[in-house]
Amino acid sequence: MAPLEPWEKVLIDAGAFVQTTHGRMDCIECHGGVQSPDKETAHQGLIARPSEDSETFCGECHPNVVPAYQSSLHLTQSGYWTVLDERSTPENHPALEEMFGNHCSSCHTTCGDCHVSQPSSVGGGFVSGHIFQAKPSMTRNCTACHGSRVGKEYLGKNEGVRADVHFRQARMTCVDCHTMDEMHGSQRKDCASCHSPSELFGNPPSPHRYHGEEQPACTDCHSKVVNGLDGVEMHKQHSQDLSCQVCHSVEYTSCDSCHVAVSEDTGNPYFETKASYLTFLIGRNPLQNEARPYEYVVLRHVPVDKDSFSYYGDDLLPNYDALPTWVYATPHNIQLDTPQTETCNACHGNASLFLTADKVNPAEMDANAPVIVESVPEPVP
Amino acid sequence: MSFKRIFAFLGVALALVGLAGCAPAPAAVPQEAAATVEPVAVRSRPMLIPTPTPFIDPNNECLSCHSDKDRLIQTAKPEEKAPSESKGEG
Repeated sequence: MAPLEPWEKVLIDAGAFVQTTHGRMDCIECHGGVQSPDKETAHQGLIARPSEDSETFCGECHPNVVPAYQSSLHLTQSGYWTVLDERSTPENHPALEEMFGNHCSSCHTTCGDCHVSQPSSVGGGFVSGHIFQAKPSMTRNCTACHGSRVGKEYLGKNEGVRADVHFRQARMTCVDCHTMDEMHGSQRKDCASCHSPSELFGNPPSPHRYHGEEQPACTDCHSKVVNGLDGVEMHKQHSQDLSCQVCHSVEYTSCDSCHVAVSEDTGNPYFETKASYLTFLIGRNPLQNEARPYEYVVLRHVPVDKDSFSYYGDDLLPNYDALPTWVYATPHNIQLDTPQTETCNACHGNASLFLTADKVNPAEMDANAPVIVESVPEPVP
Repeated sequence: MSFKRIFAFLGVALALVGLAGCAPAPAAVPQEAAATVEPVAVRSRPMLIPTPTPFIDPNNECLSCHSDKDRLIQTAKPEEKAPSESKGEG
């Protein structure tokens, strides 16, 4: 995605925009400022990103979405804080907040970041001449942020790894699976059939993206896979104890040791990731529960390190071992046929596919104890 | 209707079909000649329902400026973005 010129970012397609619902409103209603031909005067009191205050500017007309969005992970980024708090202590919170403000909060997403402009974290700029898009653009909105792992996997940009079958064959985009309800932090429609909106909107924010039931679940579309109702023997055997990705995913990106700091030269925050590499490793499910009953899932190494935030203070993650560094993953490179689907013994007895202790950094052994596979499933005779 | 009238009607119809068969065959039109026939305008008047032209309020200074590419190029503040010092996958 080529960066937009400054003028290009704010060029409105007036002819098309005025015919839309939002185009019938006075610009000043949302953006403040003053009607004047002089730029400096016109921009006095300008609100460039009104949806930063979505309850004020969007909520009046979108009461079914905006209240729920206040607890959406896209807005709250609480997934980051769930793991930071788990690995840290309350007295380190202020230092971590400073770190978070410099390095993480730019991924905070407003309504406009998906429906009007490219996210500000990638430079912003209207996607379609300020015409509001009900469905965000896959490449200019979704993978603009989720590009390093999900975007590359789904679009087949990792060398030697095919694109996800949902994209390669069906040309599905992100929103074909990730519904409006999920993106807005709303409960699923089946919850809303019993619970009132106020009950659902009053729910505490999700602590992380894999909290609760799977959204989306593969079985939302592939319903016959459950218990092998489609006649596939592997599904009969494994649909309850393996996540779908264990059989239908291929190599995906893992990263090691990200450190963040502020440049002494420019004053800009920056990061440095030590390594990125393709892996495919099956491990024990760190989030095993009723909604995700699988015994085995695929695991991705996240680039956290004991000293990731040492620029902001010493030993900010004293409880580093409280969470695995090999984490529950849902790689977006699904294939019908994979090396794992070839035979039973493609996995059974094949230690190279499993996260065994010898593959774990000795410094992270305690952290990963819950996900390490101690004994690889026996070969099938 | 009586049978006599029906037979009379059918008889006339058959006679007309028979006479039509005696008509000369239409002269074959050469392809090139057919291709040179000038198209004839079917509609000589404008459509009754013209496509609506979107009304852009000329007093809306915001829209006037932000839809004028040249004006935006002239007035946009250049962005001085320092090259990223980050390394590796984000």
